Amino acid sequence: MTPDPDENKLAILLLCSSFGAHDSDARPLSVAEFNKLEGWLRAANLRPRDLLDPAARDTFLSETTTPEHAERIRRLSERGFMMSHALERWGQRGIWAVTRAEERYPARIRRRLAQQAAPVFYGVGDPELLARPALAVAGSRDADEHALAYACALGGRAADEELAVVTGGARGVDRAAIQGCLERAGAACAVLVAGLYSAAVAAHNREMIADGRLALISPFHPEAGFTAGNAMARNRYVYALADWSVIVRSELAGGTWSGGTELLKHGWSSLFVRASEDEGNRALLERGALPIPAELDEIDRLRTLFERTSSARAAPVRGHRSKPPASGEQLTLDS
Amino acid sequence: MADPIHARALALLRRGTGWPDVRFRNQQYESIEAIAVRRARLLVVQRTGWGKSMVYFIATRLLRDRGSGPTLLISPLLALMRNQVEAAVRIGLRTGRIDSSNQDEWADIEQAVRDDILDLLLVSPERLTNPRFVERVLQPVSTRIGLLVVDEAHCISDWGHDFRPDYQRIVRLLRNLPGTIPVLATTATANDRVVEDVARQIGRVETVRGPLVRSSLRLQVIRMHDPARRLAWLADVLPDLPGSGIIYTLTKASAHRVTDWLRARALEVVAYTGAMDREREHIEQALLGNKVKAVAATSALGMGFDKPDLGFVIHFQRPPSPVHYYQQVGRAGRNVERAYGILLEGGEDDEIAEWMATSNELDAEHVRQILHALEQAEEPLTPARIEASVNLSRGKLLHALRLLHAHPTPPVDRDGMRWTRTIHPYQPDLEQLQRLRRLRERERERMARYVDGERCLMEYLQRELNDPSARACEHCSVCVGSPLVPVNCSQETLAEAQRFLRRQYVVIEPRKRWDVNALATMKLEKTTIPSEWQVEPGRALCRWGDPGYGGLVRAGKQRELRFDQRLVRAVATMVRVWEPDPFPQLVTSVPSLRTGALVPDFAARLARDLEIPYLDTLAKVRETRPQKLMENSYQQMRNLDGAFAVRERHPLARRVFLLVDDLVDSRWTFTLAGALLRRAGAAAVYPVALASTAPDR
Ligand SMILES: [Zn+2]
Repeated sequence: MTPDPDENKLAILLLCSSFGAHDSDARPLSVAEFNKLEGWLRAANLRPRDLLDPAARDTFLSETTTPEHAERIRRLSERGFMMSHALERWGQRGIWAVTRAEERYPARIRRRLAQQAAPVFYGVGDPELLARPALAVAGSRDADEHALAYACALGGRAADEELAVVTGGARGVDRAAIQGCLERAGAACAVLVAGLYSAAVAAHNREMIADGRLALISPFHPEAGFTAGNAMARNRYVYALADWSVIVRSELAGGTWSGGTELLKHGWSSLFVRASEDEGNRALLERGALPIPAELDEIDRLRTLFERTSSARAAPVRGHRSKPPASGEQLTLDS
Repeated sequence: MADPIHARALALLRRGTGWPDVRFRNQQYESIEAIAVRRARLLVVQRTGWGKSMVYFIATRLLRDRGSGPTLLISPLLALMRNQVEAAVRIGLRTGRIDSSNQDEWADIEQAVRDDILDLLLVSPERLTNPRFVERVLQPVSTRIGLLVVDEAHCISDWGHDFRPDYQRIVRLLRNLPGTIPVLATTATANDRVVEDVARQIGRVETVRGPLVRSSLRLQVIRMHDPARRLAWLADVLPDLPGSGIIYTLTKASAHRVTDWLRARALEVVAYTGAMDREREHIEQALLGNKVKAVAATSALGMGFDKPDLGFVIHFQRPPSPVHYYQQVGRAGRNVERAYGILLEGGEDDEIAEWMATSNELDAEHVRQILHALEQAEEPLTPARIEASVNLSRGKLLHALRLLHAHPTPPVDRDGMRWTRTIHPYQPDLEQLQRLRRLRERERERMARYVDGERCLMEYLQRELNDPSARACEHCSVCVGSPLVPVNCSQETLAEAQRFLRRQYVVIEPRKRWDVNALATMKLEKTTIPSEWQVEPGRALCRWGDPGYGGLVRAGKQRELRFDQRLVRAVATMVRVWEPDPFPQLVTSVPSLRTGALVPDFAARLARDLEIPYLDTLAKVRETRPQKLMENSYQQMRNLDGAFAVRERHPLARRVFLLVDDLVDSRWTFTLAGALLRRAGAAAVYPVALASTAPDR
């Protein structure tokens, strides 16, 4: 009855995830650190699960890395009980975990971000949602009424054309787009920076999640707190999960701006920007973003617009290796 | 045998036990080796006293010597037994316990874990599910657990006698535990089916199983349906039994009743139930130190309690299964020449056991109400807020929430002190419920067969537990062919016990005065009720708020609209024990327009059980408001004035009546209805109620 757990998955979780506010002092590996370790393991013909065996682990690490780094990995991998307890606790709210070692890992993120993709995703809701044709919607948290109405209507149009809506789940444009989509019986996904644990049982989400129309995912552990760095790291997953992305409103700085410029650089999905008078919008259009009419009633069918306009331009480079964004920018996204 | 690990383990065993020549018991070293060297998952099924704690102590020491983190011991035990603590200290283990009662020690324990000087931590299964405890205590100390020990692992299986929902969480936890963290699951009592189920649920586990035999235990069964006789027998026999022992009862009320009775007979007996959180450890110590003759206990006294020189275990009622029985009786005679295990069978045993089992089941309607309340709420709710929408006591509500929470895909989750609905749909596991009911029934039958005593009692138990070494013990009452302990009691003690029991029911004292103005239709002159109109002292079976029968009365009145047959039996027993003199010749009932046939139906069934006729003698000629809404005596009398009439066609003259009603509070109903009967010629009227709602004096 009990299937053997995938030990590679458990090992990756141990190395890359925190399991709560009072986890050990050892800092989980960053994406880059994990990639490096994975390389060492491959060179030694080992898999992540081999780090679970104390003797094998200690031998491998003593031959590969510094005593300090070895100690950190040892401490991380000793948290097996803590991990299983956390997974059980989170599992009670329907929260699952998926790692890069598994087939179930979101295919678009794997394909488009490759080595830059988070080793671990947590989520609640139907993971199949992440494979549907999807439209990402982004925009500043402090958007005006007009922008919010636009986002809401755009979500509804996406639902009508059977496009899933992907957002960062933040206040403002993100939530308006999801709301518009769900109201038109569509499906939506939010990539959260923080608060997955409480969002999974929040009254306004429960029914939609149980119905299979809303999925919440996060590259950070379900009880992680909000940080600006995490918010920035989160943006790329929103764009990478979509076939097309629309920025409704951007300022000349902040999360939407930096997410948009990052997307233009890497081309995970085609970026459309609402052709409004907003400064940020105009700057993004100048940098190569594709225009989408400022009023939705000018568009007959979203898909036709996206497909035509995208193919008119050169196909973006896929799977391009990006560098992490510079930190320190002020971000406006929240959970 | 130049195995250095074996040599080290043996040295630890000798140091731990304090015996320089001691050797490992069968399978003890193999178990240590499996955990500490091969990092295996092991299910150890061995009798208490075999030395399971020595296995995880030594394994912990060996693992710690090689740099592993501390051991986490999940156990329903309140604490390690004193001898275990001493053994741990000799082996060089520092142990700690974390639970809600020792908050002042949490910081020290956390620091000891940080300093890596703590070797073994004890935590209870229910604590693992408390979010605040997990965050504040468990997480900081569980960052590098090196060995997981799960005590009383049979609680995992719902094929077992002791299925505990909390253990389902442990199973799910084991599912994601890396295979390189060794796990030791232990139990002392389980039959094949339970062992297989536990092993299957734990997954990837090796099973080590030893024989259960215990040679110094002498078993006997005595059938005694009269509770007074059982009490009298206890009082007569107890002083002659060796050492100190345990008297197991099915209910808390019985434990207290037995204790009260034996103490009244100047015997050193104390009660022990799960409700007595604080005193439990103290009572266990008193029993360990032979400071008391006996402890009258529910099954709460059990898990982990180990007293090698326990002289006897008496069961005041028949336990619900052979595994239960074996586990409890097996506490006696581990390390003494002669010890007794005596089972008394009473008539009510099955009913009590079934009542306790069903009252633990989730009620579908209550679940619906709880989930609905949580679904409607914008925010997680406190139990107090849920209570507003669900008609359940706090205890029952928390019990229901805990059961729901233990579900594999729980429909509710805790949020600090509050509760929230989750995304999981709720489907009651009807199949599991049916299976548990069938299992209980089958086990009761097996236990009833034990009492039949057709073959060696010990052999019978061993076969029930699938012990391959089962054979006739040559010590039990069946093998010997005569009682080991006398089965009779003295007449004086019996009379005393009967008097004692009679005092246990709620007495309904007759009213002597009334208010002539309030009872205008009766055209009374004197405020004193004429003695020829008065009723006799009556009895109520229980109090409305009592857990046992009180719960059945509430269910009958509020939900089923019919009183359970168990109440009929209990009231009949009460009347027989009470022995009103002259004994009633007829049963009649207080009529009600509101509740219709509820009370007459019960009274008629009671009459059948007492083998006397039932007669409808009174009619309700006017609707009244519920008596409990009347704020004072005057209102209560006014409310009843002219409400009843005697049905003329019944000849009442010189007959003695039991007058039955469901509830008694102010006693005015009995007083007035009784007065009408007596005025019509009844020789005596004995009021009988199912429950008293009057405040407990
Ligand atoms: Zn025998």
